[in-house]
Amino acid sequence: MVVGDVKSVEGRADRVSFGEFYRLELDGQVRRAVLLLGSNDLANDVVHEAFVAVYRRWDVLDDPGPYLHIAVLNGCRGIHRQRSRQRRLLPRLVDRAARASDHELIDDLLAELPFNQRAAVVLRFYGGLTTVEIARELGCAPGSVGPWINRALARLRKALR
Amino acid sequence: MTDLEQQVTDHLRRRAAAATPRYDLEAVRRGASTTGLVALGDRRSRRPLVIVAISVAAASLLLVALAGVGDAPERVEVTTVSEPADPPSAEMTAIRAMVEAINTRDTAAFLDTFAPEGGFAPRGDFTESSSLFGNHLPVADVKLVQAWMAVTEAWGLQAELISCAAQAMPAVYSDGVDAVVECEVATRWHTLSMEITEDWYFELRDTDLLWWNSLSCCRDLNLLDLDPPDRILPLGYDGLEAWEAWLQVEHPEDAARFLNPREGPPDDCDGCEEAVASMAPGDPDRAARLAPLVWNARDDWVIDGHRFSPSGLIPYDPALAGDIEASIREYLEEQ
Repeated sequence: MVVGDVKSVEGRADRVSFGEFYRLELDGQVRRAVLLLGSNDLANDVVHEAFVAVYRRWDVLDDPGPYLHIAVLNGCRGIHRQRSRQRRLLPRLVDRAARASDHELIDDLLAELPFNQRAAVVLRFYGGLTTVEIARELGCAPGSVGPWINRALARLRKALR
Repeated sequence: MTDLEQQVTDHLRRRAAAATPRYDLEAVRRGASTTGLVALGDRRSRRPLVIVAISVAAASLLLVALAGVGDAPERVEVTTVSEPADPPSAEMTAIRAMVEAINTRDTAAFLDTFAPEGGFAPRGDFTESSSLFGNHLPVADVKLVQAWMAVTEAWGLQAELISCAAQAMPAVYSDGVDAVVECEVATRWHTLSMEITEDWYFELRDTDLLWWNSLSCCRDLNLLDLDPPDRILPLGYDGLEAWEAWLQVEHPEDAARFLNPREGPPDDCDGCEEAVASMAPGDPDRAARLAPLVWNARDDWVIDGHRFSPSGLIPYDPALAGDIEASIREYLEEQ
């Protein structure tokens, strides 16, 4: 499985040490978490906690790569839920029309998407995953993935018009 | 790839390239050597000091009523009752490990915390369960435990231990038990944006779990808060009901697809009337409101090939979790 530009370490018998696993996975996981959260600091915190969880179970995990992926996704999902509630409680202080660039606008729109839509977009267009792989990562039915991506793109298309 | 898709791809690559990973392997190793769950001593318990023994007996009465059978042969009756105390650390280690396994969806680690003959209440009934009793899933039914974990994942459960107390042996307990612990637990169902407070009940032999039950609403109801005011997630159970009502008005087709009517005990159920009354002694309205949460809902569904009859708290088909999550988000945005 390829996520971002880092290949997961698979198979237990000939797998690398935890330190090497950490070095191999860290960059890709943080990059993906940044795309899911929009915050470098939060992404690093989530990935750190996920690695701690992996380290605790290192001796019993047959395949730590998928475990790490899910732990990071779940961590991002938890953060996203908390922040989305805070967003609803705050008035929007920024006039979207006055945004300087499409990049900032896309950032803002991605931040407003439900977590599964945002994750599906990131996993498809950054991670290059197929629909089935995305469904496996997100723990959902494959039939849910297409509509999530379509809804997200429709929202982006409308805003970028 | 369309222009928009290419634009999104370029944007994501640019943002990803700007990320600055924080390399700190030693901090990971240090973090793994400390306890990962909430430090129980740091949180003041909302638990009342006295547990009413008779309501514990009522819990077992409900279990029997749900199962529709007579006394469970592997459970033993005693009458000793005493005040709660701090649970031994070894037992808390097992409970923490179980909670962590649930939160990380690690079925193997979850099973490791139980004795081979242990079991738990999966908030409903698997048709294939090898247990004779309703709402009782033996951990030996590994495939069903895996399916239960998939349900847990679908609803995004995150459990946080708030406080725990060791109990004296209740009126009815599993054979071989040498410790009973009850914990107040915040359960956050992220897919549903719902958080409630539950009473989780554990029976242990040494450091192995023999029995775990959640949502024990048949005892002191102060421990079970369906609408906790200090929750993190936007909805309590009342909020979930409000979403259902909104859905039925605004999107009746979705309501027909998503919802699964909660039902109380059938009219001809022998002993159920007493079981319902025991949920809120002296408060029949509240008892009637709680009963459908623990009784099975109208419709079964299938998870990983296994038929399941859910209890009423979260009766929805997990195959629809993504759509339900989107609908709840739409509801929240409208509020």
